[in-house]
Amino acid sequence: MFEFNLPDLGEGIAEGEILRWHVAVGQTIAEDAPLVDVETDKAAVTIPSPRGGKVTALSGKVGDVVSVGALVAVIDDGAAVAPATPRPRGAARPPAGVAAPAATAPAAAASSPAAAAPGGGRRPVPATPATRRLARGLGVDIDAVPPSGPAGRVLPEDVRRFAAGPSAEVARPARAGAAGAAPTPPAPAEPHIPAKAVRDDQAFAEFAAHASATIPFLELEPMPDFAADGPVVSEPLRSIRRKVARKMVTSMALVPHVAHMDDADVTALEKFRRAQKAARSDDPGIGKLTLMSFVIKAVTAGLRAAPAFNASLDPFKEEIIYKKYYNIGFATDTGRGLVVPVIKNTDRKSIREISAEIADKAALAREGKLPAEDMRAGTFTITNVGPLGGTALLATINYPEVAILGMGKVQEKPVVRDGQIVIRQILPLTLAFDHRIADGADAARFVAELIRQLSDPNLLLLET
Amino acid sequence: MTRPTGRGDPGPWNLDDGLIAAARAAAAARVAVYAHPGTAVVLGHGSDPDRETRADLVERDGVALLRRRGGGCAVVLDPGNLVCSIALPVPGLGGITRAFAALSDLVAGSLGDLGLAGVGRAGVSDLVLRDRKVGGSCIWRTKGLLYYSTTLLVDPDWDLIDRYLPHPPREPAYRRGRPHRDFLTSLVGAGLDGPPDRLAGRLRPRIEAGVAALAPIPG
Repeated sequence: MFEFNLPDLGEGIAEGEILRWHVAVGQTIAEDAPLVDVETDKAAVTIPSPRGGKVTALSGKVGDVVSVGALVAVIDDGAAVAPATPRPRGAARPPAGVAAPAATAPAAAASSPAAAAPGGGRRPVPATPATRRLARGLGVDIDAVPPSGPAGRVLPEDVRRFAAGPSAEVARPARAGAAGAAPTPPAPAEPHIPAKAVRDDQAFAEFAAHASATIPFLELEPMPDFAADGPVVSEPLRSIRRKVARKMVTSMALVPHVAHMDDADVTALEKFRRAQKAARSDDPGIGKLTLMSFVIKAVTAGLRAAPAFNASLDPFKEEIIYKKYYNIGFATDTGRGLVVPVIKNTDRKSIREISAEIADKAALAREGKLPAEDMRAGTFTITNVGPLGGTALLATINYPEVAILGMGKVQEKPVVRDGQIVIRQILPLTLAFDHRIADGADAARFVAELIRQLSDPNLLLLET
Repeated sequence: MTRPTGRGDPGPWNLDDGLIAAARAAAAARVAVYAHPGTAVVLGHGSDPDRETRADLVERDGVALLRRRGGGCAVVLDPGNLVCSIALPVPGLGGITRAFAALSDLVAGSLGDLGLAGVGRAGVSDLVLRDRKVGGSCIWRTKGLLYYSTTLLVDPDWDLIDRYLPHPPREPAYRRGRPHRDFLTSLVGAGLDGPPDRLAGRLRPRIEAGVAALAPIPG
């Protein structure tokens, strides 16, 4: 058996959309004959089969997006299973019992009516979330429990009985028969592997059952048929949007977010910035001088005083990693989705250098040409919706960082100074941070330091 | 002629197949530069004609519906367009990003030789003058061969583009939602001397020379 993974197609190309299969499961393909067409941006690639043999599984349907390194097809070339290349972390992997060739597929349970789904895919045994939690708590593989409920449902007493009996001690491979049951021949392989997304009813049911059993009160239902209510257009979640989706869900799932909000009086800073821009418009570092450059410098100063916000928390080792370098990312709207270019070592750069780098990297990001290296290793992120309006924003932390600063729109506002109402230019700031490693008081002190820096350009000069 | 239908139906490949076959047979680069002889709507390799074209109008007008091997969205070709295609042996399957850059730069440089300075790249593979598109490129890659094609808007019929192409389902960031007429511009409008067929004759030797001098694209 030969497992063929999507090969590297060029610098910066991480995935491709399946356009067309040239073969079907069960057909024989010759070495170097066309196997699949995929599209990545404006390039279509006809990928030939690296081996000849019988196709036993194909990963995905037309329109699915496949990552470089993810499984594309399994070809029975008469040899033992041998992946063409190692799969990178996070690449799609075939579910058990699907990609594996029929000869080595796990045995289906004879005694569990729900164990083998039509087509060989895994279907969860019917059980309530509470029963699943009970099974987990008792260390019982719920798939191995003989059900006594209606329609093959596993009941809590089934789990307890199983846990108490000798059969509970039998370590069972996935989908093996219950205690004493003779394994049955494997079911036929599912021809398409739902590699990246939940795309059919059976896969959804399995996913929803697993998620619901894992998270109390979570209830997942299939999307309504929106087309029944009016015209719709569907398109695959592509490239940057998919990456943003993953990052945001991961962050919101893993990080307890807290927000601290305050206003900075940037009247003096804005006067200074505008004067410098006007006077030195031909200087690339000054001519495009934005408020972001100053905020990056102020944040850097703030992070030196508050290292918790320049850290990461490793939940697996249960340790906090304090970074002694300052790489500040700034969120950029590219039209295709959010990109975060990173300005590295901001403690060693002048505001002028930072300004020039922001202009360059933002332009490259908007054109889709920003190298991957310039989007990694950030330690803190700033996002600015001010130019688009809005009084404040609560941003999602760019995991595994632990804090993100949101900038609102600078506006003239009446404020009280020395008992007098005066008009000042006010920048709303919102710091969202990871409550696991910092508390509200830490955030208040950090933001107060930012405000102090931003209120007086002379203080920022000390940081350059 | 068989017309491509749904997305899963590749239909016949109608563009530059002779060029690709010639490059394969000779195991050497081949270049074609030509003004498109008639009006056609050309689908990308994976284009869905129902989403990317006004298929009913295309059919009603009897306009040819073709499908190219390269990726990207549907375009309209007419005699005001110049097609520059290059098929060249490149080992392996990779090198797509570099090929887009190198070959688009080559076409832009050749236009510069003809007196049109300032053509650059934007998005994945567009040729632009400032922020307006003057050419779109695509690649088809298979083991051992890379096919690149760019369509230059020399003096296109804007009405046809508006008629047959709705706003595309995906767009480069720099388009910023602009309609066709605000997003596209022509080489003639930028001051390059037409017509397309004469331009083809001037452009081809420059591109051929550039391809011959091209640094190897790693596969």
